[in-house]
Amino acid sequence: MKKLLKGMPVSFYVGAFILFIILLMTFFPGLFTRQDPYYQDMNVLHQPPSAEHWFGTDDLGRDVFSRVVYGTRIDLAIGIFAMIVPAVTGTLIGLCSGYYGKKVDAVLMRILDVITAFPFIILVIAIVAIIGSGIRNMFIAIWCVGWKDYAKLVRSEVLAEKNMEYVSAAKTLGFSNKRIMLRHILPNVIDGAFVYAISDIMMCMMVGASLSFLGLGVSAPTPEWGAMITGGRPFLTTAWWISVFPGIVLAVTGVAISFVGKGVAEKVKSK
Amino acid sequence: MLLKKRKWLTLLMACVCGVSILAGCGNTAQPSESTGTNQTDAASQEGDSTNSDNGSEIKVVMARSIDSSTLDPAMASKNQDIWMMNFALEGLVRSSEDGKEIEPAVADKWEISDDSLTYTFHLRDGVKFSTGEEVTPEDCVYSINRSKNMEGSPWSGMLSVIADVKAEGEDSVVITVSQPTPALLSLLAMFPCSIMPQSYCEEVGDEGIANSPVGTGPFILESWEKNNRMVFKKNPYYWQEGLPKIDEFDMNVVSDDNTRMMQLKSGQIDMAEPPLSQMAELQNTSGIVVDEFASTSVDYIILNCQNEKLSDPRVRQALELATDKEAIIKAVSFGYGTPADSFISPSAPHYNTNLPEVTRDVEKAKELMKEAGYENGMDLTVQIGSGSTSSLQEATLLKQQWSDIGVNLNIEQIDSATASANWSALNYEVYFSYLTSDMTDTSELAELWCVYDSTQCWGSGWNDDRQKEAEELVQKAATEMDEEKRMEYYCQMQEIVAEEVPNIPLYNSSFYIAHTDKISNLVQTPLGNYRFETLTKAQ
Amino acid sequence: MKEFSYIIKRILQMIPVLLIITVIIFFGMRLIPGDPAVTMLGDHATPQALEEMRHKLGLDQSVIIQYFLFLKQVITLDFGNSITLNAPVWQLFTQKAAVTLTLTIVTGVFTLIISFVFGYIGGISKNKVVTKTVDTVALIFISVPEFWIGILLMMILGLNLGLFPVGGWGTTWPEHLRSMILPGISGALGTSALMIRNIEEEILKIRRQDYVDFAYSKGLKKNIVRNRYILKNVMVSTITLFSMRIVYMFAGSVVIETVFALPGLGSMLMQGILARDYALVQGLVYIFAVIVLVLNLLTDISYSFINPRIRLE
Repeated sequence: MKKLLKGMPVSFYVGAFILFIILLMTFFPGLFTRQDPYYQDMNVLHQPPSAEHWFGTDDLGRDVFSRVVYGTRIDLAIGIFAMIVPAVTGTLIGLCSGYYGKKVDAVLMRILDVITAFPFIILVIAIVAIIGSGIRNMFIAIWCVGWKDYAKLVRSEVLAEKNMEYVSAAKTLGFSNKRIMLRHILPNVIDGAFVYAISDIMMCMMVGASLSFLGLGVSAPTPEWGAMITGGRPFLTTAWWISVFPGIVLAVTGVAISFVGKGVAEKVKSK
Repeated sequence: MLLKKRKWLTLLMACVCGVSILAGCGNTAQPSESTGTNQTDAASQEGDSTNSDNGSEIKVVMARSIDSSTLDPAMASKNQDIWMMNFALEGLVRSSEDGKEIEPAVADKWEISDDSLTYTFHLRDGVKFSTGEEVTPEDCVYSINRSKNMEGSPWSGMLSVIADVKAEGEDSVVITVSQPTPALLSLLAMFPCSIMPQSYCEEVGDEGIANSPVGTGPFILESWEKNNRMVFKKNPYYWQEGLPKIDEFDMNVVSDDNTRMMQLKSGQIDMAEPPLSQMAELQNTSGIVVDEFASTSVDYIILNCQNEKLSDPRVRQALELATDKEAIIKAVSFGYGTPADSFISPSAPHYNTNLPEVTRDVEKAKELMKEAGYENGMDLTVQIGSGSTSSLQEATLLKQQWSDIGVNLNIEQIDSATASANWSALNYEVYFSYLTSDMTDTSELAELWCVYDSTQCWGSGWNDDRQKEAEELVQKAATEMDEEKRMEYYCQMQEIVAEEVPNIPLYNSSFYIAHTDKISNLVQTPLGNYRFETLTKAQ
Repeated sequence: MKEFSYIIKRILQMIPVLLIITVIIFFGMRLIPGDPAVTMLGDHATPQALEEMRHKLGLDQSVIIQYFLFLKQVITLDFGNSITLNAPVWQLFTQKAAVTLTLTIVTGVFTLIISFVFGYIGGISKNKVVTKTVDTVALIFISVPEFWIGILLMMILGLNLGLFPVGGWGTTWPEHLRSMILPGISGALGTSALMIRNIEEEILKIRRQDYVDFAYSKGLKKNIVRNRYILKNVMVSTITLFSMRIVYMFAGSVVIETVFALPGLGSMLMQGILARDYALVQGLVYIFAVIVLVLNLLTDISYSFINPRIRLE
């Protein structure tokens, strides 16, 4: 760990610090706010930011700050869960495809071609339309599609790695294919997928927010940043804070993830 | 189907119900009252100055959230189709702007035979289609028969009361019905009976009519780019002289609510359908006016009367008593609505003004539950379409309200098509729905709700002695020519429905149009039809 | 010749993919709950009217037959009639294609301008502050959803300052182009940000390489070195990245067109999905898929011309 952190650019630490705060919000929202994100106070509609309501109140008198804080749970969950499943399956598929080659590769790559033919956002929207909106279905949709980039990435690395001496050595030693793939090749090809996964978290959060915007994602009362941005749009001219703060927080989180990702990527590259 | 309520007003019968109605909508205008009657005067006063000759064409642009599918009067079934019907089309008669009376249109007078079975309509002298051709009785016969016989038309069933339509002489149309039909004029005022030129219709076929109908209405549909814009031009042959007062009307599609409202605020468009969530915001915006128009729409909770638990009327009554309608209006339609006490809207004729107001009374509800043997409460399930935020909100509130009398309401979100199919198959317990009337008469809604065989009492499965009683009243009213007796029947029917509670009427709502302060004199009838021939735009 | 046979091979490979796509689309659409006849006629329709409408739509045939009917339609470019818009899908497509095409082109042009200007500044500058600023701004743009940028631009530049129309597409070409500026920028920023980083890295890489030093040492003017060597080399990798992102921009039209009320393919697809308009959605998704496949093919082929060092695999 120490070694990993050494020599990182400043931006990495800034990003990591912000992410740390956001994680704290996720697990201990009570540290940041005492207000209930669902509590509607009809006496304080559309209040501008103040000492009591840091980010103001929304059209139903809910505290925007506490909604942003509780929203970290949902948004981070979207980013991480939506990323992790495709990352794992995509990596395994790429591994098999590249390692076995021939027919396995041909079949898997044709499947990949088919999926690639549908633009990501359109496919996700179509799947959500078929199985209904809501967080769970959004995950399913992203899982169905998201793996293709990992598969591509890992496959090309495996192709390069496959002819290395250590692989043929392992083969001569009679190791099983499974063992060679998981123990020998995987550690050497995982870096690219890992770096991609970090930025993928952000992309998944973006897709989640866009789906909420189109009315296909998280539904109304749940505090989710994309839904809050959308919900605050009618009031942009009169109560900008309802929509702008969740947007800023989403952007800051994204930048923090990018900083961390960039640091990790450089580290990996120089290794 | 239409509307939401709110404008009280009297109906044919002078039911004066001035109460409650205007609850939440502060500064909305009520434009329909002053216009209407004196069109010709108004035309001569304003017409010359605002209008025409000198090259400055007056163009008004409106935006709505969704495009029409078809403008074929025989096939139109959705609000976005029906509301556009009166731009280019009119019937022999039409409904008044407040939706309560019948006015002359293509026909300027008519006689009804003593046995009430034969109606003779006389066409207005020199009335022309927008193509410049004179309207002939044959065109009328053709148009009405076309809708009546159209395969797959949702309206052909209603038109089946018309036994025969024939042309008589140069300018008369004779319509016979098989039994006295007090609703006949209302029926003829409905869009499926719009008069279109036979030669044109036969030339362009059904597709052509759907995309570009021609009639005697105030406007001509000049072009229609799907999912983008309809362009209407003034019909120079319109029979009401001096109308319309604008040269061009564009109806744009802007599906995003916020973008549409921004366009309105920026002056890029003149009028728009406002989302309820933004009404308060719009009313506080200078330069923007929100007009409110009475509607016949009523939102209900439908209870499955064939379900074992719900078959006891006492349980259904208890559920209504446990429901806080005001709270639901506030949450679901942002306060824009008034609690309903009948399944018929106060803006419809034959609304019973004497129904007792049902206010929330948990104690009484608990008592009723106890009497029915459910003092320990019960479980109920409501199926709502996934993705409908307002249904979810309504269900969540209801769950909370009903829990006070021991009813545990499970909320099941399924896709809306399945929910709707389960509802029509009586395979549900609680369901949300709404209805609006399509005609200036009560017979359509009364039949949907009380005649078991037509739609199983609008999916409630209500089928007992009291239902039979209501059904009988509805059938008597359908052929009773004496308006007073009809009113009597319909009022009794509403009382029975209110006592038996196959549905819990939740709220009546209105139509709203937001526009810049340059626009005035626009009308939307309680059936939803836009009437923009009197609309003016200040330069 | 080698290129030629490669192209042929790629096109042949597309055929099974296209077939599988028809299967996926067709059966995927059947999974969407709801009866299109009910969608068309509303809750009031009589059972008989529904039956007639199902017959008219061919829904009373077996699924397999329906699939082959669909296949036949696809081959003849006849995708049936949109239920909600009541017009042939192909005609709707040709009507709306101009909007989406214009949007994609305008977005592409903005992307190239923004990314080359800032990428060049960031990459060539010896001042670290400049580079870091460009980097950070780029990161912010990647991290903000494009619909959000669109909304803000529309509010500030459109509604408040009145410089641009608030959505819509206008009626004449000058209006069309003017109405494309804000959507174009909104769609361009995300991709530009990616490309800026790419260009910077490429420039740094090239600056470190010998031939630039060599050129300097030959006494060539600084500007000439930049123009001749750096830009030319940067161009190759950037255009590759750009061509991959075109697909993304094209698909992004769903969101951008909805925000800006542009009557294009994306907003039409979105409404078709919400209204369960079978024919419209399956037709459009199929056309989209074909366009994407063709774009991908062009991208691959262009590699070989832009950069012969890349082996055709």
